[in-house]
Amino acid sequence: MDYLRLKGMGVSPGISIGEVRLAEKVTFTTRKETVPDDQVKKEVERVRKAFQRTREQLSEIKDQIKEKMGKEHSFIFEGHMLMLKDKSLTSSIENIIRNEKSRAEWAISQVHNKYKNLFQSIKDEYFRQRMSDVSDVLFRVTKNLEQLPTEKKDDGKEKILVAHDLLPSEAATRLSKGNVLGVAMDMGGETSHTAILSRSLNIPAVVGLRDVSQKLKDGDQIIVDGTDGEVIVNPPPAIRKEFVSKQEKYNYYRYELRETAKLTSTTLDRVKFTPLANIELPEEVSMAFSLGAEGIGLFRTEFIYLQSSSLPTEEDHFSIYSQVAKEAYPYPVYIRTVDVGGEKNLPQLKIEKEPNPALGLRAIRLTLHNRDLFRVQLRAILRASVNKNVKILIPMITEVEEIGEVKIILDEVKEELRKEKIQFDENISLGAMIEVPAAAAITDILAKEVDYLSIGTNDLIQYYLAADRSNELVSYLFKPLHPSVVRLIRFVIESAQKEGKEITLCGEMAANPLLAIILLGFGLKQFSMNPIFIPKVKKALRAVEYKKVKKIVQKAMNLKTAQEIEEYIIENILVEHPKAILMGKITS
Amino acid sequence: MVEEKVLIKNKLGLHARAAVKFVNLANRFHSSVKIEKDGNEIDGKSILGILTLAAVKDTQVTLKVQGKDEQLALQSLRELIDNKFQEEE
Repeated sequence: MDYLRLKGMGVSPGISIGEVRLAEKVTFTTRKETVPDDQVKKEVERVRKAFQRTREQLSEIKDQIKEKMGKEHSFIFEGHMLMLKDKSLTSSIENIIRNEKSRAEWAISQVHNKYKNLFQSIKDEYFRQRMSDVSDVLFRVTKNLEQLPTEKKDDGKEKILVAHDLLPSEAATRLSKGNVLGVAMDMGGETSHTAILSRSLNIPAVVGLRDVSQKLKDGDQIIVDGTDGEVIVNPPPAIRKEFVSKQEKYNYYRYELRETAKLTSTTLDRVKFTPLANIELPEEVSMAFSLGAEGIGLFRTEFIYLQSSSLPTEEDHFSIYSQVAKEAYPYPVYIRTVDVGGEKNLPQLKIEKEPNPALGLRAIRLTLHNRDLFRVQLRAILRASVNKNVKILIPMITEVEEIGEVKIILDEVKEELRKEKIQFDENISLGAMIEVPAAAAITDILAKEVDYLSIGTNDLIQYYLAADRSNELVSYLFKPLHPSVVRLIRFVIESAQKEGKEITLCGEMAANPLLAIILLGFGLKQFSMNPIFIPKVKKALRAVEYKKVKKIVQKAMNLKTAQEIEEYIIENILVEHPKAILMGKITS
Repeated sequence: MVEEKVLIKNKLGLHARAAVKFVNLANRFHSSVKIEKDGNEIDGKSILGILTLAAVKDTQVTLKVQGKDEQLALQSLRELIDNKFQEEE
């Protein structure tokens, strides 16, 4: 086999290089063999024994998988066990043997075809795919018709698994062995069992390669690039070298992320800070925690409204919030009530187009105009708070009166729930986003009215500097280090702390290491950001001494321009903490 | 025989996991259990039957139960479906 590059679909990132181990292709006989009358009974007996052996095998595999990979993955075997017990399956096989006086192999293959036709006619993709489970069970039974174990024992060496398609049980048993470096498959897609397992086990995988299994044989050298969805067969030395270095880079990156996530979130002088994650899908929770998040600092809820053409029900909200709260437990989840209006419109509400949407009916302004919508969401958030790790966050607060109105509605909703005897956290925290400059200016007043505050820097800076950062003609004005901005943010942080209230910052400022160091200097301890930036920011904050940063930042407050502030901070931190800068691309 | 129309309400429909629960519960009763959807009738104690039914969310099915414990069987199976097979959505 010569050098060859094949394009497929990368379903689990990373690169692996190694020798091919070809998986057996699942086939059923196409040859009808008949038996004499007196042998029919024996064939039926063979099938029954094969079913029995398969049951024993599956029960063993189920326990192994459960132990190695958790109950979630062992579940498919429960379905397979039930299929083995399914009378419609056993009786149709036995009937064919009796009626056609055929060998068991033929009968099983006929029944397999029958189900294949049945499943093929199903429109729904998920149900159609369940044929793979039927094939799985019947293939195992066929192999068990022989007394001897036919399973090719692999040599235990680390190799790359190449297959036409992997049966669900095969994927689970093979991948959990720990000797699969990578996977390349003809069939399969993003949601195939093999793809899901590979991702959860960090095994690079490329699927949908059409005929890779026919092109390769045991012992061929291949590269599986799950990041870019490519398979390279028998690479020449230069290509191999290129991928070895790509692999090293990727592995180092992964290693660094994992290591950083494990470290404590403290500065050099042992001041504790808390990295939090901004997310919007429940599926992102586990990824956020694996990157070192210590809570969900901002859970956006807009997507719930965009999922269907009608308004979401209380149950729609509740199932999502409770899932996130459970997964994050015991860490906190700050759920922001819906922030739509402005450019992000909700077609369901038929809001009239406004001449100046950024300054119009959006976020809390909109929900106070549509109180039923607000109540549904508050009820769901309260119900999800039973384990006391949920907080309510109100976006776009402009004046104290709005907090008062929110509290009245919240109290009414709480009273409703009490009457219905539905449990919730009686002391649930209520917080306000500081993103309107007017709110920032009265932080001391607002702080008295709520349990905590959260600064949304993206909108705050844009409103404060009156510059739309998506407008390239004026975006140069959007400077987080504009002296006015840093002074304002310092005021907000200090005012909240004077009132003894918790203060978080969620916005892109928290995701930039240099800016995060400055915010730390103002006394900020809770940084909420897109989780992929957590390791970088955590590293930078771990490399500095809080006391020193505080002094440096203090002095920078008297400088005239954003550029002067940036240069001053970089220079001075470089003197005090060379490592924080060496940590690389600190301003990137 | 007793029968009743039921709506499948869980997000994934009568998918593999739900089908396993259904069959396991149906097997606890002596009565025979049939599920009918759009004129097709399958054995409610057969997982293959249920999977080929391909009952997605919002499908209407008819449960037909016959035997000495038919009342209890019907009630239990209906509750399983109504409770979305103990799934969250």
